[in-house]
Formats: sequence, structure tokens, C-alpha cells
Amino acid sequence: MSDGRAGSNSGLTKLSLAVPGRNTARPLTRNSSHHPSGWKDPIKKYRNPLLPPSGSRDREEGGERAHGPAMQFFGGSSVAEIAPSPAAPPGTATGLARNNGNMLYIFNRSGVCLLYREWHRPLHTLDAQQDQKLMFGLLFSLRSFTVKMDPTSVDKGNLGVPLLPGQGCSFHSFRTNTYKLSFMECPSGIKIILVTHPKTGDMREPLRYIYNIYVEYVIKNPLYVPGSPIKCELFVTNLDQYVKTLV
Amino acid sequence: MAPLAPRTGDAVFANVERVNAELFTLTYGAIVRQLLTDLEEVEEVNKQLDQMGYNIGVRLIDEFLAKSGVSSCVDFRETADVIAKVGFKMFLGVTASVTNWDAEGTSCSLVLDDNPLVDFVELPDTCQGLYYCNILSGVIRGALEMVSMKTEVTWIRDMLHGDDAYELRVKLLKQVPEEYPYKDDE
Repeated sequence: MSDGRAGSNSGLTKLSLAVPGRNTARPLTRNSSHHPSGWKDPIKKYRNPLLPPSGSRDREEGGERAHGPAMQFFGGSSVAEIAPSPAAPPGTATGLARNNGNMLYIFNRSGVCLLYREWHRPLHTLDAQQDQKLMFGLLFSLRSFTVKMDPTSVDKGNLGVPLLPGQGCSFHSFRTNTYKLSFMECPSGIKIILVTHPKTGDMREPLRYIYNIYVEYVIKNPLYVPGSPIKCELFVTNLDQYVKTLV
Repeated sequence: MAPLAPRTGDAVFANVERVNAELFTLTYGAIVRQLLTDLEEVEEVNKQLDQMGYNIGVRLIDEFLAKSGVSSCVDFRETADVIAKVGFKMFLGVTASVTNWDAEGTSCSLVLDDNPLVDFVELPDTCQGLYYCNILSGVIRGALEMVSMKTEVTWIRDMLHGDDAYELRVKLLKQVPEEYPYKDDE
């Protein structure tokens, strides 16, 4: 059933993942001899944060299957424990197999993670704080990089010079074989990041819409302190509803 | 990328929710009246109004960016233009004009001929030092600070003091680009 997916995970371990259960023993013997048990493969971290949702009802099982080797690799710690982020209640819910949105982050300009929502994330490799810092750092650096490498700009500044929010070209998304990450930054410094399945189209309009929802329910809420993690129920509900409708 | 900024705020103004102008004016008047009663010192009231405006501006900027869809302004001139044409129109329903640019292009005046905050208002003799619309200067300062521009906003002309129009002087102090917020070893 999952032969299509086997190809996508075959970078490191060239196993066919079609048969459940059978493969779990092999990577243990194959890889554990090369690496100590606590070793975390940094590439795997980026490659396997989620499964492409195929709309199958046995998503949990499929998760076990396709990530069988990976889970053994990390000492089986990943799927079993969901680390809820301090900023928002964990959004993993049953029955969201058809949901395209997998994870959402909202950061402000100082790197504070205002909101972290997840709807589908079988593999957690870092604790929430680290994960958010990593994400912010990644995008901050990517943005600097893309601006410096812009062939159409005349700016001769050095790499690493701090940028104004609107300066230079804007970076929209990157796509891997297992997920697509879409990014939007506003001149006020609010960054919205949405991780979805790789076949997703251009997410700029949905991200703008999410920004509008943010304005309506968070900014206009007088009890919300700007710069602190978002605890507004209304915002989270509306956001969930909207993300469910994304194709 | 966001669509090109509308050169006038009319389209945006037509789309936002509006409130009765008299309600707005009377509410603002009630706030100033209460501040005068509580604080009694005209200078204190001016400062409080500025602080209130700052808190408003910090939130207002996101709403402005979301509703009007303006992308980043290239320089301060464009910023001042956008504030005067789109910003004022969107939130107050009036347009301001930008005049009196200084030589370096870091300082300009926003002139308002019509100001909905001051309908029905006359300042009594005891409050002659009061900048009744000081909330506006705070709003502009707060909003610009969230887009990395530190500014100083002062009133030059005030109709309640006998002048013929409202003039705000906006001076750009510096632009503060974003730094990587985490320390390297964490």
C-alpha cells in the first residue's frame, strides 16, 4: 500500500517499507553498529517531520510503518511522546487525516514564538523551545542569504548585516520531497510559517488571510499584550477552521 | 508579494467598518476630560495622551498592513506619503498633505485641514497648554516604531490654539534593522 511512499524515505535506508513490522529489526542491526544510540541524524530531522497525508484512515499505522526505521533510530522516543509547546495546546487531533495544514508557527520580530500549532506531526525530534528557536534561526538566516544572493539588487552590503523587514527580495517557500514550508513576513516583523504537504500550491493568499485573522482576534483584543504568546481561544478556533479548508 | 500600495486610501476606507463620527468625537472628548480631572496638570495629560497613542499605534500598524496591503516603503518620503494618504484616510476618514521636507529628507510636516477629533471643542483658559490631539502623535510614533523607524512627532500648528490648520512635524531619528535575537551559544 505504501510503495509510493517508500521512495520518499529511501534516502538513508534503502529499505522497502511495504511490509509492516518486518523492517523494524533490520535498521537496528544495520545502523546501530555505525552510530551510538543517541546520535541524531540532522538530515533526518528535516526530512521526516511529517508524513504526506494520503487521506488514509490508518494514518497512525502508516506512521508507524514508514517511520519504523526512524523511530528505532532515535530510540523509539518520537511518536510516543508529544511535547506540547508552552505557547498553545497541542493541536494533534484524531480525524484530521484530510487536513493539509501540518504545522504553523507565528513569530514576532524579537524571535518570540507567539503561536505554535500542529495538526499532523508524527515525529518530534527536539523539545518545543529548541524547535522554535531553530525554526526562527533558519528563516532569519535564509532571508539574509536570499537577499544577499539576489542577482537583481544593487546593494553591496556584506552578509550578516541586519536587515530592515522590507528590504531586499522576499522569500516565500521551500519544498522538500516530504513537505513544503511557506513563509510570510510583514513589515511589522510578524512572521507566519506554515508547513504543508509538498504538492501544495502558492500559499501567499492563505498566509495573508491568516494574518488578517491574527489582526482581528489578537491585535484587537485589548487583553492581549503584544509580544507575548497568544492565548486567545477565538483566534485559535478560527485558525483551525480556516486551515482545515486549505487544499 | 503584496499588491502595489493604493495611492489613495479611498478603496480601503470603503472596505473597513466605520463608526459614527459623533460617537467617536464624543468618546475621545470624554477621555480627555477624564484625564484632565484625574491628572489636573496639562503637561501630564499631554504625556498620557502620547502614551495612549503609542499603545494604540503598536497595534494599529498590523491592522493597517493587513487591511491596506501596502508593501514596505523604500524610504521615508514614501512612508510619509502612505501615512498621509492611506493611513489617515483609513482610520480617520480624512487625508493629510505632506509638506516642508527638509534637506536630507528625514523630516516633514503632515497638515490636516479637517480633524474629526476636535469637532465641537473649544479649549478653556485653564487648559491653554493642552495638545488636545496628542494621541495622534503617539499613534504615529508607535506605528513607525514597529516598522523599525524611530521618530519624533511634535505639533507645530493647532487650530484650538488659534492657528489655521493642524500641522504635525514628523522627524525620523533612525532606522533600526532587526538583529538576530538569540545569543550564539544558546
